[in-house]
Amino acid sequence: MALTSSKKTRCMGGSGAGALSHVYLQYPPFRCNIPGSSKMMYDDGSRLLLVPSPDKMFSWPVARHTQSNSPNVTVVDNGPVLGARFSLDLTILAIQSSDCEVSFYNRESGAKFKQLCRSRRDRILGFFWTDCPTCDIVFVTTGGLELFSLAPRLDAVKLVDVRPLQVSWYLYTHESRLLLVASGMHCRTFQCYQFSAAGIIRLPKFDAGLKKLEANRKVTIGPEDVHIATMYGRLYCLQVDRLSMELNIYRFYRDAVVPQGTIPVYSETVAFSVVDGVLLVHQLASEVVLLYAIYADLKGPISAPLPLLIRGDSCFTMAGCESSTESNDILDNEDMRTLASSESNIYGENWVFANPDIILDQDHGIMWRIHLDLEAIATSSSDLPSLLEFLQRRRLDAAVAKELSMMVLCNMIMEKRPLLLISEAMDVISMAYSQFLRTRATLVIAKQPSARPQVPARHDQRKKAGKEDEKDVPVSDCNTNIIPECSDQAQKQSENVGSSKRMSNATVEQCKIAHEVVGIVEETDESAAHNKSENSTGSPLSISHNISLAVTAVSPEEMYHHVFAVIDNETDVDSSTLIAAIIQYLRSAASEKLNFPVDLQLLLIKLLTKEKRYPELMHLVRTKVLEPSKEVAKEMLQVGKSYQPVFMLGLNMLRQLSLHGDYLSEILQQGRLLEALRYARQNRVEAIPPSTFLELAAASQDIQKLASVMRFCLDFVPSFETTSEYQTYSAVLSQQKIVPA
Amino acid sequence: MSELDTSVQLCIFDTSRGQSDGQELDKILFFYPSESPFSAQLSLIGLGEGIITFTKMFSPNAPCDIIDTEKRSHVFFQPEPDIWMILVIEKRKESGELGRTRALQAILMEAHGLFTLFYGSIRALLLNSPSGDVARSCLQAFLPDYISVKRLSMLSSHSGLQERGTIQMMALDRSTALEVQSVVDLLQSWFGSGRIHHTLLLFQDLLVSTTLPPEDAAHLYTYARMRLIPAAISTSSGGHSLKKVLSRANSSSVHLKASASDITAAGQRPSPADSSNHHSQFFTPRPLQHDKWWRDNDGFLVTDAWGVDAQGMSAITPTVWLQQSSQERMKLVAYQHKQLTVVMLISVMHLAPNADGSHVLRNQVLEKASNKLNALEDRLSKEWGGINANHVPGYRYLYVDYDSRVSKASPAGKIATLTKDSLLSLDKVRSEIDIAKGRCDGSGEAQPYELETCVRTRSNAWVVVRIRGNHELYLVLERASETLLLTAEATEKFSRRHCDGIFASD
Repeated sequence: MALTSSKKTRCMGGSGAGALSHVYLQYPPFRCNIPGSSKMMYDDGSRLLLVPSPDKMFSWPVARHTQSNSPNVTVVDNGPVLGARFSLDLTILAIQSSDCEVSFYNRESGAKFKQLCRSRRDRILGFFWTDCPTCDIVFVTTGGLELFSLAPRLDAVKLVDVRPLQVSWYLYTHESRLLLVASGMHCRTFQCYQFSAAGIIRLPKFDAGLKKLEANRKVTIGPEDVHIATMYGRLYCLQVDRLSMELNIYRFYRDAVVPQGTIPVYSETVAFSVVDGVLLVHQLASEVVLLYAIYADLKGPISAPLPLLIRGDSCFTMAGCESSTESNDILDNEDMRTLASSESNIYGENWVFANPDIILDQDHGIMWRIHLDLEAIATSSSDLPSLLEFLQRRRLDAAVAKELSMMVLCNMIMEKRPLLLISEAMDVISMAYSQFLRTRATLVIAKQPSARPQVPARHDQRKKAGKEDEKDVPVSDCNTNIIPECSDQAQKQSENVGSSKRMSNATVEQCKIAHEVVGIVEETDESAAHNKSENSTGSPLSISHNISLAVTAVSPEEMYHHVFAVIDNETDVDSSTLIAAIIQYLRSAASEKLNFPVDLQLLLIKLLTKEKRYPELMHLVRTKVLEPSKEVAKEMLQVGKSYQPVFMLGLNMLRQLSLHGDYLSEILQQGRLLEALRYARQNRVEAIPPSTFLELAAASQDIQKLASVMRFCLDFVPSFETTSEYQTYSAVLSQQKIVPA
Repeated sequence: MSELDTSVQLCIFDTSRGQSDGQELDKILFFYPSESPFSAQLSLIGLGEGIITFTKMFSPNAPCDIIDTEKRSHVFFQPEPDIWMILVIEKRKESGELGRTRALQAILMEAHGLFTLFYGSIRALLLNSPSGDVARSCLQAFLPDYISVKRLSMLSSHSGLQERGTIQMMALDRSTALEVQSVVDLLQSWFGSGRIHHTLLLFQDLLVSTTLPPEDAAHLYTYARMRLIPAAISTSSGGHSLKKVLSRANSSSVHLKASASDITAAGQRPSPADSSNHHSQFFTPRPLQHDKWWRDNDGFLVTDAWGVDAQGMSAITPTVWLQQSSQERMKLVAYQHKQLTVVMLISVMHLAPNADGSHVLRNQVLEKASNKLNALEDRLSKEWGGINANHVPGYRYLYVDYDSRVSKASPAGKIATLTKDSLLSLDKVRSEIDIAKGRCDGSGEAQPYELETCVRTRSNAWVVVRIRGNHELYLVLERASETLLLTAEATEKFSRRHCDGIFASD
């Protein structure tokens, strides 16, 4: 996505063009006009949009921008559909058809089977597929959890385990692999399980935080008040306290659930989305969105509250049209262009916010996806280092984020922002880049043991290994987050688990954080893509994510080309400001052990020369900030024409680098003929012919010098007597009556 | 008064003054000891002037360096046109020969350099105040303090492995160097561009970084080492208060008869007294006065050597003149944290005439920079290699880079292990090289001077000298291998490892 694309976008729907927003819905939305269907379901495990019709199940893979045109159709039995989910490898569709029964349809073999819940007294509240090693599918019933695994021939499920538990309602997101079960009279006690690759982990129980206890006594907490959010690979529970208008945030750790603090809410009802790690709190009553980047610590919103807008961009509309021509029965061409006014009703009554960033408009059969408008956020933000940190953490829209980052840096320097601010910004950039390098290195390591046997049904073990690599770096830089509440013993425990995991996964960095966060054990789905075995299920979303990983970070070379060189080309730039900015960048780069591009070094030399700050230039050379290289040496020689000591330094640099030819030609230019001869002999330089030396000696009008050079040539140049030079110059010498024998 | 100590005499005179008979005393700008009878002063100057005039006939550009007699040495140095300094040192039997002439001249050069740092050039003082009173009082306020500090080194200057007037740098790795540069930039950026013109950062007695050109840096560094670094400041800072400053200032100041208006009228030399014009007397600062700098509670260094302000409320901020960079007068503000000393120079022009900008600066530094500076001190003290950081086993060396006025040498403790014989031999070799270099300078050749010498001393040590333009390397290898070849090899190795291969032999 080009940086300019959002400028081209036009605002749709009720809000006029030019209205501000930090998040928007991408127009055109996905539409399904399935006759007879009344319900849309988003299955976050398989990342499919499921729309049931009386005897069929339509499914579309959900991607980020593009919409797949024709749905997959699975023929199912006629009957009610209370819930539906595809297995993670997309072979089996499970449909909850009643309170006590789930039907399974094997898409490949066409096999059908059913499974009742264990006890007649219990009702099935829902179910989900999992990739944890102990089971494949979990039923959540009012009486607890029932864990089933698929029979080898995929024609039945077998009960593996039962976890009795009183369940009022539950939440599950596949992204977090976390199941949250509410129990108690007012549903205020939460019990969480994580169905991770390491097995099933039971987290400690915790109670919902309610401030005004007296008034809250009779309030029952419903599933709409609680949300599981995965942000930057960490798991959080968000719980609304309606009476005190606050949102309590808990973070899940392996051995604890730790309150992170509260943020205020401004609406009776709120909904949540997470886009690229950023928490969006939709204040439904006031129809505005607040954005929070919950990373190191709980800060205020990163931007002012602004409404959610619908935006489209012409090229997307066109693409949508073309693709939709083939599937006229589902997607109506005409409808693609405009939205009915009722459809563009933001925060409509029947909007369902699906995890993490999907919105289903049940009334109109529309699926929206929420996007961040990075440019709008960037322009409205005043805390630039934090903004850069935010931009550098983008995984979606990474190219835009990167370009914006560089633009922000450019503007900071040009506008002569306080140097301390620039310094902090440079730290952000360098740290992000070195993290990127480390991540890439870990990925390479993680890809090496790819010769593991393929386990068709359980391909997930390996997936996890890669997944964690990818995500653990962004997490590892916030070691400050280690929570004091974590008991030592618990830490040790988790460390043990962490180390065993490390052994199995053979990844480098995860040990660092393994003892810190549960969320790391399981990572977001989006990060899973680089693994081959995942490709069958991998949607474009995860692929785009994988590519984007490579581009947010700004390399030193890019810093030169897109920031410093750009500023240098501006006409009215204060050199000393630019020098200071470069020094700040080099400092941050050095502390992250990044290399300095030669071009940047040359630019620094140029600027220092312009300011006549030669002593500082020399100091930088001596401390190896300006590293010895041919380019730097040449530049120093050039600069040295107006300041001799710099010239000497440049000359010595050539010598140190053993660039004999360049060194010789320089000292010959200075007329240091005999020294050049000595040097040539010492270092066995044969590129320069004797005639060069002889000509120079003759030109110096110093007959003694000429004689010395002749002597040298006679002694060290094989068969010099036979050359024409010998004839010429011995003639010159004999005129002066000095003839070397 | 009993016998006058004449083991060290120093006089400064202006040959352009007192031309007519009976006016000879006008030539004399300074004489030490000041109690010497005028007859003795005049006879020394007469001798000096006579020799200078005589030798000028043969060598107009470099008339005379030294008169060596049985009992005394007269060292000549001409710091400014027509201004001469003569240092007379009595030879004592026990200390044997005096050091080489250049080393003694370097003392005079340093004295003059420091003098101009604080007062401007002698010629400028004479031009502003033709009577010579200002120049005399300034010299009188400065040189006796200097002599009392340097007396010992004048009498025995067998320090062939030291070079006066050069800077000893702290060895920094790349990222620390950048860190330092970044802190310096931040400091300068916080106080508006141009407010802090230059900074000089020292760790203990080593220079960490400076934005000054080499010569000014060398002078300021020399002063900082003498008076500002933690080891040099007064330790009695405990109950120090402004009142104390005031009382000390009044008791120890050197007053001048010329009125303040006289001096300011001359324009070029506004004095600290501008801000207190109603003061009828001009206060001549004594920058080298012993025990006159304290570390204030907030980490800033204060001194009353420059006097106190009109209200007697606070000490006047010292000022310095930069010679090489801008010919501008700067206020000197120094901050110290543990072993780190930051000397900041603020342009006087950027300050309102009556406001002492350093107060604003002090608050800002404390508010914004102290954390950074403290962290930097931490980092530097971790990186500092100890007093023997520069020691290279097996070598006793001196490496001087006259371009940047930087020298690096074996630590003093290691040099002390050399035999006296080796040091004397080195001294002799060096004085011969000094003469050779002097000749070369005179010849005006464009090519850089190059030299390689290997001398075997009586006690079988090797003295190696290599000169490449403005870079010089002196090595003393005791108990070294026996052959010339091995010595040359050892020198090459040293050059490669410690001098970036500058002294490689072709």
